[in-house]
Amino acid sequence: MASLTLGRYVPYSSFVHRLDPRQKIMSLILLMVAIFMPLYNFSSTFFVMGILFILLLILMAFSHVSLLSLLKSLRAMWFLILFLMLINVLVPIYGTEHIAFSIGNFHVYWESILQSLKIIFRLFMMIQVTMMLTATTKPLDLTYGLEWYMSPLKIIRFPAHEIAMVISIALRFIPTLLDEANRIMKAQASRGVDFKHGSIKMKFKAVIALIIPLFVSSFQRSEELANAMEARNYDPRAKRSRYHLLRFHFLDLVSFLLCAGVMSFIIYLSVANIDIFAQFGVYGTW
Amino acid sequence: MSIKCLDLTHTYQIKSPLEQEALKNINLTLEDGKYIAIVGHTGSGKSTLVEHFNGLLFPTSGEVHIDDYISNNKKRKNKKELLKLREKVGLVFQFPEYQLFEETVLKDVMFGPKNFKVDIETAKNRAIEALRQVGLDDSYFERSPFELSGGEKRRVAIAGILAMEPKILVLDEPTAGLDPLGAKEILNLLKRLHESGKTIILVTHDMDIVLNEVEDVVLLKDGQLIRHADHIKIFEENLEDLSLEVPVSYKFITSLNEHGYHLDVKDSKDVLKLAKSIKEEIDSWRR
Ligand SMILES: Nc1ncnc2c1ncn2[C@@H]1O[C@H](COP(=O)(O)OP(=O)(O)O)[C@@H](O)[C@H]1O
Ligand SMILES: [Mg+2]
Repeated sequence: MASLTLGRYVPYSSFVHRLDPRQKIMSLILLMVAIFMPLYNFSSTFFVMGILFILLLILMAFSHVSLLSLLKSLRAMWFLILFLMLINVLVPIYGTEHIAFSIGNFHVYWESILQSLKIIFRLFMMIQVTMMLTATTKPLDLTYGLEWYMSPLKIIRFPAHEIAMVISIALRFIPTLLDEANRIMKAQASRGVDFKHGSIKMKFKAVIALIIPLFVSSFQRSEELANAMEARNYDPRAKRSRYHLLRFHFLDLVSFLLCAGVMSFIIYLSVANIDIFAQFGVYGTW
Repeated sequence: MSIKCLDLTHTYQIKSPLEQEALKNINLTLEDGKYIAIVGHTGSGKSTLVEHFNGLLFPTSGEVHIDDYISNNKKRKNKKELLKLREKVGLVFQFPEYQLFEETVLKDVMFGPKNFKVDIETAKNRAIEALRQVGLDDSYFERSPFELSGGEKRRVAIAGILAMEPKILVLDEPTAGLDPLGAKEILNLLKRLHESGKTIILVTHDMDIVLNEVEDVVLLKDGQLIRHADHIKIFEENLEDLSLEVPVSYKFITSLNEHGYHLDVKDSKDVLKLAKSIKEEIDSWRR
């Protein structure tokens, strides 16, 4: 259950929370691009990523996004990390000059290790920026933002509103379903079900005792919701106004320009293939 | 077999922005063999309190003693002891019909006993007996629990706990959402169970039930214990301040008494008895 709360919206009123969701989505994309830009060499990459990482950490502190839950994502990724390390060490493809250590005839290169660290660091930062978005933006605002980006597609009869509605209903019911699952688990635990221990067979039975009631109540809920929407004459094609208007403020412009600036700079470094340390007169870094 | 709460405090989602102190320093002893109501407004912590009684929740601080089982926030939970506790204290959740999942009613009721390592034959016998107790006969045994009415589902769910043969039966708002007749049937069942010696703990905010059914009352407000008293004495509290509705019959008697009558509140349980005692009082004035 802990992994599901990862990146859940946490209500605060920091300036990041108040930014326009459309702008935050755009900034997320810009920063993602920046994060995945290939740079001159390892030291340049780690240097630039490190600075970006620290800036994002400061931003996280400002917007009360929990560092702990970010670190927890590392725990969830442990298998991926192991896998990446293994692949990179066994199949060295990226420059093999510096031997870290050898086991008999088999050499493990520094490049392999650095390469896997680079990938992990990037994945970690990807989670970081995504969390920044989801933890500071109400799910509903997020879907409004997505709908706005999809709305030009309405011209070619793309069901932008319907998709946004489906997403927002699904998001709306995640906490409800979690509560429901929690309640059913407690009710079944009262009947002697042990969800943590026991043999495979018992675990299987325990899961059945959770899943079936959860399905039954979800179907019931969705039917009730559909009826309630129909009773109020809901028509996805109808033209509708909105209670909360999305507004683009000055702060949005500033943060958009900052993110765009960061991305442009990193793209420049990448395209021009600049060795950062060489700029400071340090040559020959890896 | 008594339940003792010592300075019981429970905080949900501790150390998060959504932190919520649901129970505050509760000191309470619930005696064996009693029929006890736990009352309070929605959100007063009733469900949180009873979930401590069978080890679904553990205190944030303080202790709960259930017989010889001590529940606190330190001890590592021994899963065998916990299972024994859950067999001893049967908890019927609010809207328990959502916990049904087996193909047939009988199988669903047998699920509980089987989890407590009772052999199949005994489990079946217990299930049949429990279903009869809640008033469901043989014709229901092989039906799917999903095709029953709401009231019937609820009775199956209660039978599912009864079949575990708990010493203490805890029910969280068992009459919520039922029609008056269905509610009455469940209350009658509880009365019978209590008379046969079971400890019954009933969570409710229906003061009519408090007046007419139970012996002792635990009154909660905002996670704090306001009073633990006899079911008549509890009406000395200002219940309307606690968002609880005083039963009409109780209001009727007290206002008659304010106008010079000498009626006993215990008579309000039954309209016929009440009419009779009013008549007797008037007759005694005439004499
Ligand atoms: N799982 C939970 N997480 C956070 N808060 C909860 C949870 N369950 C209950 N609460 C809060 O604890 C308080 C007491 O709830 P509860 O024990 O369910 O009250 P009652 O059963 O008397 O209605 C309420 O304010 C409720 O919002
Ligand atoms: Mg409750």
